Amino acid sequence: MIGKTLTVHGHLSGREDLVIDGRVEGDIELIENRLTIGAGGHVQGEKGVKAREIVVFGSVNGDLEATERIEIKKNAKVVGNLRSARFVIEDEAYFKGNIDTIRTEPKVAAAAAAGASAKPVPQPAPAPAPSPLAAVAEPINSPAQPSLIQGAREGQRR
Amino acid sequence: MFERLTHTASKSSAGNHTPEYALGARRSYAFETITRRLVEQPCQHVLDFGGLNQPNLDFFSKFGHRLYSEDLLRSIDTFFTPDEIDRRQIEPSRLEQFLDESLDFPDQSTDAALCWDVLQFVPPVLCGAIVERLFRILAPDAYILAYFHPETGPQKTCAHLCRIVDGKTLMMRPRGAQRMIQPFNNRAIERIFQRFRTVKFFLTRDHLREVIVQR
Repeated sequence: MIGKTLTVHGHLSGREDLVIDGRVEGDIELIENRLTIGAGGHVQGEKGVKAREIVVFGSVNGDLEATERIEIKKNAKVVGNLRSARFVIEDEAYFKGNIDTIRTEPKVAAAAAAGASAKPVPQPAPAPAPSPLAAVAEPINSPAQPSLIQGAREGQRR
Repeated sequence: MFERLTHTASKSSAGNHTPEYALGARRSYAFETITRRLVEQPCQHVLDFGGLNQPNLDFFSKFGHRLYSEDLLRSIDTFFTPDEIDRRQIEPSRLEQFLDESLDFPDQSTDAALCWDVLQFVPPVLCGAIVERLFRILAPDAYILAYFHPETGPQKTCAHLCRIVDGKTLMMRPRGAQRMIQPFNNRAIERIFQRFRTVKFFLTRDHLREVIVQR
């Protein structure tokens, strides 16, 4: 743990969980572990922070990358880009930056791919995937639906 | 205003009043139009200026879009002094610095900007500059979604947190302190987006104007 009165300048890396309540000016790498930035903690990194799991109660100025998940708690402040498989964002957290979701390959598909290289197995025909449009498939101003629109006007082409 | 709509009841043939939506939720035809496009075209770069929240992030991630999120009003409050905002005059260099910090994207690199009702709470000099910058960074055919409150409403009101419920429904609730609201009539809205190709209005029962602007 880095306590409230501590300031660290430089790169931090290791293989144990870390809680920061002080100030870290540098990059942090805890690839297999959890990093918690406490309510009074501040991290400012050039390349940013990499960990298995990152939980922010305090403030961060720099990019965050987590293999499992990033949590930004209420009243936390993060300016930087996020990259993870999962995000948990609480209301009233301040965030500014891009968010990239890491797509994890489904285990079944991965196993099928691995099996296919060893022995070809006939695959059942895949069921048709539900259209993502299903949620928005109704036409606008559909007479069957009560419409909130009283009028629509299109501006002139400029 | 939004609350008024959320309690709107439709009278069924039996004479019972049935709420149209869950408390706080409203259907948005403008948002629905944007959603259609976002569903059809994967891997879009979407800018959300209403601040990050979990439902919006989940919604855009589900379709594989890349989301840039910022609470523009909070950024303005942090960057500019109350004096700069009250005087309604901002040094051009300060303005440029703010835009470079908040909207620093390559030209024509983004596909949609969700402004919600934010633009009405931005000082006029800043509002024009933000729209101008959006014109620069949005790709051709990209959309802006913006909401404008009725001109006859109060001078001060709260901005709203807009949470996406599904492809056509939003949950809108007041957030933060009340702010001065800039009145926009339809002509003023068209004028501020005059460089854009089209401005499409969706008028609602509560006179909120939902606007889709196409680059």
